[in-house]
Amino acid sequence: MPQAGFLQDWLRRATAVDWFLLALRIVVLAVVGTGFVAGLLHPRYGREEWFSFLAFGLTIGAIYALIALGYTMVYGILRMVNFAHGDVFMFGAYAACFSLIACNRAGILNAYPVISFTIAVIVCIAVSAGIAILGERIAYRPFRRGRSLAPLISTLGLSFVLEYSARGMFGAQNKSFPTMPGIDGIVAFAGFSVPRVQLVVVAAAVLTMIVLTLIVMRTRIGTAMRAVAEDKDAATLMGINVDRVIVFTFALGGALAGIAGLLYGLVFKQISFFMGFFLGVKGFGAAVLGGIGNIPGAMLGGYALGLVESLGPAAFLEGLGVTAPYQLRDAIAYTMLVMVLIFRPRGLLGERLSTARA
Amino acid sequence: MSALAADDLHVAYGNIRALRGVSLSVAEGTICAVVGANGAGKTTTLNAICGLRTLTQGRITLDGRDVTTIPPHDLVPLGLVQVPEGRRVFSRLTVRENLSMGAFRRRSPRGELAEDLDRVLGLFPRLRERMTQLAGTLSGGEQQMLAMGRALMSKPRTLLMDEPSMGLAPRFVDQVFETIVAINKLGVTILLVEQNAYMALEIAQMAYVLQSGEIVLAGPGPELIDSEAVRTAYLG
Repeated sequence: MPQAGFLQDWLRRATAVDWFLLALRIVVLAVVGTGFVAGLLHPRYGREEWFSFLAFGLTIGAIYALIALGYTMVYGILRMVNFAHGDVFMFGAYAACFSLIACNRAGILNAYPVISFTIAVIVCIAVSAGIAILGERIAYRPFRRGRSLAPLISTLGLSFVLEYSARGMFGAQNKSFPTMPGIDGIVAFAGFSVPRVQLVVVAAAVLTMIVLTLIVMRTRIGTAMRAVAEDKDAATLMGINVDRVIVFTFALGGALAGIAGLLYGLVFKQISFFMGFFLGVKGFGAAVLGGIGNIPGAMLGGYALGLVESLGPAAFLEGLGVTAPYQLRDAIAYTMLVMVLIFRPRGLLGERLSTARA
Repeated sequence: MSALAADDLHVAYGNIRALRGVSLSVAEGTICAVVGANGAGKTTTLNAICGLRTLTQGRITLDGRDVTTIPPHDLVPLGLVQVPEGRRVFSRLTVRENLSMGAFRRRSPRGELAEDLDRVLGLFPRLRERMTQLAGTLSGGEQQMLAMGRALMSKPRTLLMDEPSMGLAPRFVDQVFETIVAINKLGVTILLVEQNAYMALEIAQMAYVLQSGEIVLAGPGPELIDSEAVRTAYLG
């Protein structure tokens, strides 16, 4: 491959937009590079701090990944984004919160924390999966025939309906999440320490993702999901009821969002009716980052986004002398998202659309 | 009694009338062929029978039962399955998973399914070596075998086949037609749609010539090969 020929070709064809994108890449890489080097020259954090950034990144990344999976599975089958998914997550968090409060009132929260936790998991899965199924029914299915943007608008509308019903029912102020006994405190080993709740969240998320992978790769309905994602008509001809598979997909994504809601509450200790929007956008970003429609991609994208957000400010913003680097973590997260999409529009693990739709 | 009968099918795509009163009948245990030029409505006919296309008018009977309004996925348990045009195997599923999707609606015990799988693999020995491979990595001929095997896993009584020889190398085309005859010998009624008219007509006890959404000629396959109408209308 003649490199020079490629360069000449590029120079001849490059438009203003191409030049702008080139400049953008150089500037971003330069900023990140300088910040990184400057940070290395004047190290501000010790190993322990770095470790705790890493641990937090994995924790928040796990939550992003669980949310991203719902977006990516629905997209994989319907080629449409479910904008109400973030609010399914929010309802999961409230469901978990209220079931833990109820356990506390019944006096079993402190006596039997494992049972209470199990109850909270079941309730938040049931509520979130139920809302996801309801959303499919009222905001998706009526518009599935014909290629239009109607489902985008209807799920956006559903998102507002869910948010403001939550606000009406649970109040506009933040709600504090009950403290689970046994997951507070710090675990220390080999000179590092990490909040126990982060270990619980990471373990729970990994377990959930293993179960999901087993469902998708090993069960009859999971195989049918993959078949429907690839070719709905061929799946119908095999006797698969596509509508039912779609409902199952929504329920599965909703269940994951519900678990994410519970884990979010455990980590951040307070929830609000509006949090579905922010976490929904993050989860969607993680799904796009990993390659939307791709299940391992959503997991990877979630962790990548969480880690960049958590490590990024310390890694290069501090070095640049930014005064409040942690306020900029969202800016870093989305800059990275944009950069990945410029360099690699299909996302980290996404297939080229042409092969995906062949 | 005919295994499958279509009576006066009308299908329209917007203002274009794709089928204008197609009637055909497939006798049980036979091979029936529908031939015709590109765009004559062959695929539309099959899809209308399967319920993938909405009828504006017409009636479909399967084993004497009216199935016109039954949703497409519920026709499979009734014994009607289609091998679609262009094979349409699930390329990102393994060969084994593809075959298991054929048996999706069956509630048979594991042992019976395993026996059927063995029987299907007996028809298509090449698939046996490739069970764990992704279907997308198979050659065109192998994908056609997989598509047929997948359909057979549903234990159909009537099999619809849309252009099974399309895009295949000549040696695979012969093999596909041999397999169709072999499947028929197992007692499966076959409705075959083909552009490869000579080969289809040779093996068809009954055949129909479709032109612009209408049946223009019907008769035993081998007789139609020699008919003047087929030559002028289609074979050229």
